[in-house]
Amino acid sequence: MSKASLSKLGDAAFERTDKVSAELLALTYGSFVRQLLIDYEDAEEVNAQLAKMGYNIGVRLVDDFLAKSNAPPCASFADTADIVAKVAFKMFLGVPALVGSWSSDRRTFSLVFTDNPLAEFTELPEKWGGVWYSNVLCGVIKGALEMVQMEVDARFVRCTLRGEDLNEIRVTLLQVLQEKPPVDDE
Amino acid sequence: MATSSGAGVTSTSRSGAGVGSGSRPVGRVACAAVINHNNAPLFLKVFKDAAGSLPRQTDAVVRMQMHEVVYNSLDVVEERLVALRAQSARDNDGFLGCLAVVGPMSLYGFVTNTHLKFIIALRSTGPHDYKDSTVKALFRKLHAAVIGAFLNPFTLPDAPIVSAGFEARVDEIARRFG
Repeated sequence: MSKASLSKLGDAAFERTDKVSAELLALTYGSFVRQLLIDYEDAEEVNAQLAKMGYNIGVRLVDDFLAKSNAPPCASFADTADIVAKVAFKMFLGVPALVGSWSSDRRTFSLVFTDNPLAEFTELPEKWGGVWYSNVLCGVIKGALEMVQMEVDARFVRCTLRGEDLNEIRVTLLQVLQEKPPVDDE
Repeated sequence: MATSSGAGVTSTSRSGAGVGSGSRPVGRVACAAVINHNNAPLFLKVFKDAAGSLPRQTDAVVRMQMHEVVYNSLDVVEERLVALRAQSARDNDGFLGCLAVVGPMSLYGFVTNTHLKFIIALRSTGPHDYKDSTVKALFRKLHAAVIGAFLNPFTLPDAPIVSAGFEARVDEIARRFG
């Protein structure tokens, strides 16, 4: 499926889904991250918590995605990357991402996007320079792909809140999980 | 009284306004301040070249003087607020007009529905240098920037606004005003 038609698919899925106000999302997420920072007082720990929370969202969200998006089956990891970027990002965040910077072994790619609805109003205090504010997205990607037998590592490498001009999530395929029959299954 | 020259900014210092600023034209916005409903200062930014200070005065001194000028003008703000309440809600856009003329500056006030007060000092020769509509437009821009700053989850209510982004936006607003 061509990239243009995937974009259309993403737009259509976005049109169909229910919307909430951007302010509600950004302010809810913002106060949530702030509270985590107050509770844990450690940037690394907060990053881990956000990823964990995202993971739990991802494992639920993937079924919704597969049921509603009409996304075509993926024949390769490259297809998966395009569908995450063009359809899933558009459908749930309202902004599509770009896929780029493939590694030579074709197992690592970057998701690049400029507008981030989670960080709409946020300015990270210097004290919390080590926080990946939108780390929840990495967890969502990891959780969702794990449910479709792909174990991946996803991490932020660039973030507009750190003064960079775009957001970049690096996704690496660790292994394709095999469906195993339950032990002692007669 | 707010119009007192207690801040030590006298009209003679105007001639010194351009000294430190080189060939760049002197800006017209001397100071922008945000004050909360309890009259606690949340933000105060001084644009030294427009503030008409003597070149040998340090930034800290100019800032302190400006604090005093703004603080004094709050008395007038209170008076204007009483007058404003008497008006019908429809005519009330929060603009308090020219509060005082202090040396080379005119001070203008604006109050939001949440009783945030904005004070802007403009370089001037008298109270009628600027049209109300011009100053109102300036306040609207500042208001938009303040709203943006308050939407940041890391800005605490009633605490001073510490934000490089907000400061840059205020700089931009002042620069565009001239």
